[in-house]
Amino acid sequence: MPMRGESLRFWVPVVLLVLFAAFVSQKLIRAHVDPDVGAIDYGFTRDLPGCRGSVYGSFGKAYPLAKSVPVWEYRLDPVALTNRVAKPKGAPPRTREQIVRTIAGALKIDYGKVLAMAHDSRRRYQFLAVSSDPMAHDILSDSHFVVGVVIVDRQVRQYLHGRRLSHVLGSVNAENMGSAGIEQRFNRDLTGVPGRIRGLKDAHGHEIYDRRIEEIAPIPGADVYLTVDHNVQFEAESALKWGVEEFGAGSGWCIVMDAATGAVLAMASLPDFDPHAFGRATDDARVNRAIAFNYEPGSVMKVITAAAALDTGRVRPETRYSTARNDDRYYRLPSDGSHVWEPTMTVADAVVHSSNIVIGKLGYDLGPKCLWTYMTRFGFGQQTGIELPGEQYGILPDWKKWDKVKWSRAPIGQGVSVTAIQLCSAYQAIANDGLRMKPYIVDRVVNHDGRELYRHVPTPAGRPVSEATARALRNVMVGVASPAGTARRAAIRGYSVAGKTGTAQKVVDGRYSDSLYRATFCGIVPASAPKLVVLVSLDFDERTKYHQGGNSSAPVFRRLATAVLRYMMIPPDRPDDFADDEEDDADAPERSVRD
Amino acid sequence: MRRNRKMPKKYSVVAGRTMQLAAVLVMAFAMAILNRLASSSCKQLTATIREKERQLARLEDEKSRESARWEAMKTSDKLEAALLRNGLKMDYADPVTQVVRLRKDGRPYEGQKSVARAAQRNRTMAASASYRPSARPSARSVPANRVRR
Repeated sequence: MPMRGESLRFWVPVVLLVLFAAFVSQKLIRAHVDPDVGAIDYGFTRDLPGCRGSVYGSFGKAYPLAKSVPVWEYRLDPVALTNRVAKPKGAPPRTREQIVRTIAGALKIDYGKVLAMAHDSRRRYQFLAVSSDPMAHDILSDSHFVVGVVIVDRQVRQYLHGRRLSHVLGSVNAENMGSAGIEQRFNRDLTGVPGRIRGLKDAHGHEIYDRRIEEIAPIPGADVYLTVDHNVQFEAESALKWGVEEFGAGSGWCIVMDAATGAVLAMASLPDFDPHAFGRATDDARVNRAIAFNYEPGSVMKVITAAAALDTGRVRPETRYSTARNDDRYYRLPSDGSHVWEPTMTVADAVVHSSNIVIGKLGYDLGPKCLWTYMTRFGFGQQTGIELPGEQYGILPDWKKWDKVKWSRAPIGQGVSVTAIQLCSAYQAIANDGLRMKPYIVDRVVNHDGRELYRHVPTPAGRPVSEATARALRNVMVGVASPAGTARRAAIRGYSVAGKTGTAQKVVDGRYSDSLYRATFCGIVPASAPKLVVLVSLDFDERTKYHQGGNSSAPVFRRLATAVLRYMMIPPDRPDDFADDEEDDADAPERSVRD
Repeated sequence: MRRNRKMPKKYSVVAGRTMQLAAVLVMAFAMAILNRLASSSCKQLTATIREKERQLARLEDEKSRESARWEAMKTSDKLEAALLRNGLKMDYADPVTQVVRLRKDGRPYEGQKSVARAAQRNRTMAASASYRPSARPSARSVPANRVRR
């Protein structure tokens, strides 16, 4: 059968060829359709980190507070430095010392240090520096000029205002995850979604660009917009720093809040930390004292007691009380720290002169249940809900657990603990005609394509007192910053200031200390049409001359509020103050005013 | 002898198959050449795209770094330090220089800083040779509420 043999000789190779072609093509097709097939031997997967979103202040994109910036991380490989040769065109090979000198010069590192690293061949990929200098990158990435330097693309978090607002912004850790402040609270939104590349590599391990199986671009993180105005923040931190240094306080904190909406315009706490080196900050410096620190408020709480008494209708501002401490109707009244002594005193004068006895009697007359109810309505003993991690609740036990001592001390701010943001929020209610707004610091969160993921709408958090009570109380509080009050150094020329001082004894070893105090002043400006609520607290670790609220916190308040009023162009409500046209300088320490 | 003139079957089959085989080979060769050309062109385009992508990423990174550098220079601290370096001090305007208190008849009270300051400013501007009423300094160049001292 010659024919059959000839035919077989032709068809067998053809069929084999076709089968082989089919097999190869099937492999290739499957490799394209099913990425796992292509990835058996030479496949790779690389994650593309999504750029972390930025944090902006109230000025928006023009003034970012925190943003991620691409940088290069340089590492030295002593083995590669020894084994490879750097030979520029038309020049002899460069020596190791020359290369090290180039590296040190480009990265601005000590030459000796780099040389020591180069000699330590047991440790490969030693960290040199992180730099965003394109010139250094051009020099060090030229393999004809420099060898032994490994360059890694990285993103670093930059806090453009340095230590400013460090407690609010927080920080990120080495893995670029938020570890404090807004960075922690909004970590999920800021992080974004990482991308991915899946493809093939050649035998040398290089990526074959036209054999990419999958390429998913990363989605950048959302941007967070705060209500903080960086200029107000600058003034707040400058004034607070001045106060801490001038009066010898160990720490201090302050808040500037919009009186109508509860938006936080500035929040500062000292000591602060460098957010670029959060790991090196002490535990003490990491605490945001404006929200995460419970403390006895002292006399600033008397305003709440007076508000409760006025709102219930039991008293009026002109109702008189005896200032006698030995009154059988009351249990162990506190001693009076008022600097003015009169046999009787009106409720208004009791606030202005900060009379412990009269306010103690007021609180006793109200009863624990009523007092506790009003304190709760003002937001004490509960979180305000501000968008920052670590907010404390304060300590306000249920009224049923109050004994007679607490009943007599709580009205003057002893035996209860509050946070600064709670106190500021309570005063905001008085400034806002009795309507307390939920404090907030995040205005909106916007994702990469401009869609709003979250927007804060000013939300009422209750009406602790009526409008009439709030107005009456503000009128009373104006006297505190008058020459007769405890905070004459808080007065601002051209503006009416309603506020209250507080000088709380610190508890040391379970006892009230006679030498260590926390001085607070919380004020509302302008009192006739409130725009701002400003709280300043200074914490004294040592006995000082100016430990009272009227002597230390009040001048800080004055300095801060004056700058902010001018910056925000809030018109004076007392232009007649300018009639005398004399320069005033009340920042200098003056006579001690008892609180 | 017609039967003898007939071409043997085996020769005709081989010739036919040879033609087919040649056609297949030519087609395969042509396909291979085309594939090679397309692949080469594709590779070239891919390389160009990758290069452009890398360039774009590099430029975006550069822009990001430069904008961060610029934004860091605009912070309140840096501005304050820069002003001090140049012997300047800026402060927010004192309300006393902005408030004009008027009498009932509409005339301002005497001795007010705001009135004196406005008069001084008018005198300075009038004395300036380059002064044109329309050429006032832009409100954007200097914030309205900040004045040099």
